[in-house]
Amino acid sequence: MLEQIDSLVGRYPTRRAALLPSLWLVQESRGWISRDDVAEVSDRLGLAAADAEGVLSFYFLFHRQPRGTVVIDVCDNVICQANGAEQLLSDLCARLGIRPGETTADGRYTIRRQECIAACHQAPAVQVDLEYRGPVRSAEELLA
Amino acid sequence: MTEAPQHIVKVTIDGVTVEVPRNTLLIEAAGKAGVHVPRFCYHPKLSLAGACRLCSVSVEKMPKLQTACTTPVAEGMVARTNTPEVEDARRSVLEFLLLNHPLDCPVCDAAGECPLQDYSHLYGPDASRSQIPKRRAPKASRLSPVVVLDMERCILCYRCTRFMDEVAGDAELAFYDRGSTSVLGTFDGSPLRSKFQGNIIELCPVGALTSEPYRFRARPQDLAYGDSICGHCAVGCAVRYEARRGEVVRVKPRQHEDVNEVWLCDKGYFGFEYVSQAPRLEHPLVRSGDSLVPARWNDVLDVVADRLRQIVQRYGADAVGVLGGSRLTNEECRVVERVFRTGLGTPHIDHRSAARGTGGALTDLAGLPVPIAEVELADAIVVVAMDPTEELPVLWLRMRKAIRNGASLVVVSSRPVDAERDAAIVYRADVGGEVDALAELASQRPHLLVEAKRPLFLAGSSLETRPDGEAVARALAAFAREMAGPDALRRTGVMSRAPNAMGALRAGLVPGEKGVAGGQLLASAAEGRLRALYLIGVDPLRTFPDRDLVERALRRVDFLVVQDIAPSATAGKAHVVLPAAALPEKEGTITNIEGRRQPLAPVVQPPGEARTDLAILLDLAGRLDLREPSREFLARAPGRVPETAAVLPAAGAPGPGTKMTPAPGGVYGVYASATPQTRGITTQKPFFAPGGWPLGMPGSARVSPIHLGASLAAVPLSAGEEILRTSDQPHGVAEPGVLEPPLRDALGPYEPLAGHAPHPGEGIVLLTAPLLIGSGTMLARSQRLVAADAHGTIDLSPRDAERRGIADGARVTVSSRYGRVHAYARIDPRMPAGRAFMAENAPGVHTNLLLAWHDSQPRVEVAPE
Amino acid sequence: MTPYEPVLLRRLGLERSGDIDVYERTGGYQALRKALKEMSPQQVTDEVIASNLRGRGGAGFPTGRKWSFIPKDAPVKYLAVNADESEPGTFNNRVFIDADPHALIEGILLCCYAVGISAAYIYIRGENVPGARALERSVAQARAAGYVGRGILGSDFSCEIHVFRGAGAYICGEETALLESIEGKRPQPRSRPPFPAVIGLFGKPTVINNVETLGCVPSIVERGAAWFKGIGPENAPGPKLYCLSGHVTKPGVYERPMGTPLRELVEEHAGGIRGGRQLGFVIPGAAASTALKPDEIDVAMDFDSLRKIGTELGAGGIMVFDDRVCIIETLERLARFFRHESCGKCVPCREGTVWQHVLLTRLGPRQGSARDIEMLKSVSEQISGKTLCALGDFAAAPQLGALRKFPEHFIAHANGHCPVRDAAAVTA
Repeated sequence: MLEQIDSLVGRYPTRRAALLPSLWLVQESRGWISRDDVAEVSDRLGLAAADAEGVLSFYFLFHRQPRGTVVIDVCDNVICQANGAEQLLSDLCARLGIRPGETTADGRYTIRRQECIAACHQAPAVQVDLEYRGPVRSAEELLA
Repeated sequence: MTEAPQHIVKVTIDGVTVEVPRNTLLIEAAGKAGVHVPRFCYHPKLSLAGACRLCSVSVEKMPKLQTACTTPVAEGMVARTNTPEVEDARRSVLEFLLLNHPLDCPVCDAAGECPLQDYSHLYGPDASRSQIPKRRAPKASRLSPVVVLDMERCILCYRCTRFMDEVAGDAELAFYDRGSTSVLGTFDGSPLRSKFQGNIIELCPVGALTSEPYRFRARPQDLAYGDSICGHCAVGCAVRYEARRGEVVRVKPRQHEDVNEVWLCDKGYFGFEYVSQAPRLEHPLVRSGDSLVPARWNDVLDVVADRLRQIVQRYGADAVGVLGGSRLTNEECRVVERVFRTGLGTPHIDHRSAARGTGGALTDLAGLPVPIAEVELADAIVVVAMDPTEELPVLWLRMRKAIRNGASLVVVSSRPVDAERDAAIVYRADVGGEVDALAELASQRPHLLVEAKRPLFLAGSSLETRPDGEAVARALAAFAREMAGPDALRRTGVMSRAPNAMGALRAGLVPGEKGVAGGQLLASAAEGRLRALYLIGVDPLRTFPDRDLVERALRRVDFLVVQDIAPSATAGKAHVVLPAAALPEKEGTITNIEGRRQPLAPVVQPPGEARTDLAILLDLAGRLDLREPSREFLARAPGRVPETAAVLPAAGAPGPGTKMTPAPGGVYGVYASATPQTRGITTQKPFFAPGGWPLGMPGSARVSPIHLGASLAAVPLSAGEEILRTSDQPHGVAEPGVLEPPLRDALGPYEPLAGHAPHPGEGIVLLTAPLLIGSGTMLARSQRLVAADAHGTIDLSPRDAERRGIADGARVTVSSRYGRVHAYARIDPRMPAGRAFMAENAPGVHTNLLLAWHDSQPRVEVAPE
Repeated sequence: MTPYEPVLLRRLGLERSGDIDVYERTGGYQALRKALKEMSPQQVTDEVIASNLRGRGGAGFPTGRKWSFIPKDAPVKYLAVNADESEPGTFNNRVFIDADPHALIEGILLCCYAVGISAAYIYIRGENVPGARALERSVAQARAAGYVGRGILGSDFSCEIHVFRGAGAYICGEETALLESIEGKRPQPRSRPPFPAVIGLFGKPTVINNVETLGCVPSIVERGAAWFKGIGPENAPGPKLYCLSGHVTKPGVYERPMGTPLRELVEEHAGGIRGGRQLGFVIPGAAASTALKPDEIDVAMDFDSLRKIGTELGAGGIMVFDDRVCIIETLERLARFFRHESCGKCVPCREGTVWQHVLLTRLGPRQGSARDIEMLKSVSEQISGKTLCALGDFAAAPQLGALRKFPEHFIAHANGHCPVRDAAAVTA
């Protein structure tokens, strides 16, 4: 991992610019980004951990705690809302017995509300592990 | 290369036309036009943010309001700050900020000196239109033992984070999350470690960041203040001491663009409690058997005079040694020199209590070779055996400025130091190997040094104590010459740390012919070659790198006088203890590392019967048979201390016109029982909205803008534009002081000397140095800065720790041939194997037990407990 | 429906349209070859200036002029490609990148050649993983084929293209926030001046262009400015990717000339309102634009025509709502979006978007008062034009526009009614 981070650094004129790519690297290999990961990455890039954490915490997509094997991000912005996103979300939550932002007890699913994902023509649209799905007709379709 | 002449443009603000350089920010141009534009996020020492939008003004030909802090002026620009549109915008920003502000002014330290409060009164809405519940956040969370955060009060101006990142280079404070839920904090809640934390409290325009030592101690309107100079190190930062009921409760930086700009280090900012918190020495003490008992000044000084006279008569003047003076004023140093050297006749005087030698390169190169302000113009800085962050922190901020401007830092050090973080080259010298390291570095001819136009070559204050100090100083001189030509010696210096080391040096508090240097002086005493020791403001039992030797010396001498501000280990062994005034109780001048003589001003009276060192020394002088011309010199010094100071050759005009009158008993220089006001202390009258706050409460009094306008107009605009920390709270602009011409006329060539490698042997070489924050008289009462339960640490390399089975944080025993102490291990991955570091002033441990004068870098064994 | 031959989406639907061989076979990289062989960098810039191509991100700034602002003598300069597309209602970048990634790469290379840039960063929103993958793959193909890298096609023009993934923050579409994001800082907009053309990415002069804008460039170079100017209105010519979403029969991206009437797009291309309902309102330029009433949709969809009637083209996100949708509830959701996405740097946006949203959470469910309407107007005015970047204006605009155009809905809500829901209740 650290070697991969070092190789990312070469793409940019500053080490700091490799921060986001490095965080993606961590998340994609470990599923989420722990405090220790932040400390390790920032140390590798010559940043203060607080500085890196300040950047990281700005973004929505980084998971800061262990997440479900499958992450379902349901867009609930106006177009998806007008196409039944709330119903979809509540069906999903009912099926899984969790609320948006939570992970099922078996660690299988995490469900989140998401802002517009640029899939308005697929409304109601969701992302399953950042892959686009939509229009989603039913919760079953996603959990199958 | 000549600089293009600055293009001057005319701009008009609220009808006032001023001429300013093109691209001056509108907010600065307005200041020049006498128009105060309110601001929160703007600070001239920080990058531009454009965040708060409070400084929005109307600019002709621009459709929207412009933020004055981000708008560079152009020829003919016409701006207005008083249109209804501007007033609406200000009201709007303040309304937004108060939506979530707790309005807890009655329990907020910032109240009375809070820009949010002041601006709200001046420009804010009369009442809140909000019906939204306020955002809640934890109250009084600790960012560190000295900085308290109240997130509810934070207005997100980003001054603190910008300072930490840009100026201090310690980006350990950040905002997390985003938007309205942004919160300020450290990583994982770990305490801030920066040495410059106090500045974020100063920069905070609200009560979000407050000082733990000052919390709930005073209201600004209750404070008296004295504008003086910080006495913690040789940078000589301009400060304002603030006192309540005769106790110093706060220190603030004053603006001195040539010295500290507007910054302070944390020792300067938080380390004030030694002044007013017990224990101080309040009465003269004389030895009676095993104890020291209070006595009258008259009697005690008679004892001192009699004993010194006897010893001189019996053994000669060179049986008397005088140590100390680098914490005295210039005027006091002068008197010490006249009393002891030319008056009594002893050559054994040194302000450097552990110096090895005198003369030579160490003396020739003493001090910063260029003015502090020029350091930021350097394009390469070499520091040898020095950690500027620990030794002269605010000078380090200038170095960082140079580095931010593109300068390269080269660090040559046998142990890891914090400054390395910003270094272009780190040369890890062998222990005692700086001489060789410099030779090798010179042979590589690093282009960033060879091509530098304005390099600086600096060595640390440890050189005066190190056995090879002179050799390293000469090697540095040779290195500088090789890199940058013979003139480079004018850019080469050996640093001192003590606040008035430079003044003491100029006053002649160095060994004369046949005299021995400070450290040797104690060694001489231990060998029985001295009969009397007169120690002024030094505590060698704690600080001297050989505790055993000091114990022997103190036992051996017939007569030991300790003149100090507070009880110390050394004072406990004295025959006579003379209670002296601390720096914030004194007038006079001190001379900083660049040779700038700056005036002090007293803000509080010395406790009990303590007197200024000047008063003590002049009184003592009157009781001794001194030689001419000292007798005549001192005789011309009557009890009127400031006048005395004024006739002293080296003395500048001391501070504000303080009148000192002889006490009825005719004792020199004792302060009359004057009230603070009559002693030249100004009582601060800050802007204060009488009654009725917090804002929006019934009966809230609005204060006429004229009040504020007047207080702003009164701000002097010397030494660069006054930086208004807040709407109305300038801490003052310091007088420039007098920059003395450099001491160095004749510059080397110095014959090279060999370095000093430690004795070969098994184990780990122990390296030591005093750190900024540690044990010591002036931080003894600062329990938040130096926690009461703080313990000494030893920095070990990972390999040495592993070999010995020592975990990070484990308690260990450190033993050398000379002694043994307990400490806690700290594993520093930067530390080379075979070396370890302990602070000489580590709290809770006598590091000097491990050291010997003839073996100051001993082998130690470290074992887990 | 006038016949129109697509330019930007001409490869949409083509099998393996993202592969370089398909791209080359269908005329791809000819513009780059032409430029390198026959044109000086200045000529490329001049052609783009002559085409009057205006930035498709929303501001409509002339692209060629933007390029010409970059100091010629600067040794290092950058191109940042804004593919952050995150405003509710817009998805044309996504469709375009999926359909024709090489066209974007060719546009990037032409821009870099024209301006003398040797490194470009494509900033793509973190959610668009397929898009990022497609671009990574295309860049690799282009590098292998000699279009990217050192000495491109044997010329002395060298250029690297990096794909940079965002991580979920709408503000990164703001050009200076985008630069901060690439630099690894908190992506909060910078104060200007200095402008990115002078001090941009990594402190160097930087061009920032939208995906669709760059997508137009190869065709301009290949077919000439005159051809381009022949499409759509003179003051904003060229093809435009319109995103139609909401209650239309056929939501999707439609490429038509700039200035195509809104009614044509809604009724003809997108197939009209779904399920036989009536049009309620249209938000023509994504979340930050003022909603239009059903009788206002004869407007031409270009920058200036829309500004004339008090709304914006934005990036061309047309959101269509039928007569069952309550505009106040829609505005509440949009206010939540802007509150959520406000970076927090400047006061009016950070605090104002919260206040707006809170007021709408009362007005939406008909629990608000006339004072809340007044406050919404006042707070929106306190944000508009007073923030560090345009996000504040974006947050204020739909509210102020709706207060102007749909006052009766607000008043009804303040009185405990909702014209739409009440009507629905009656029909039920």
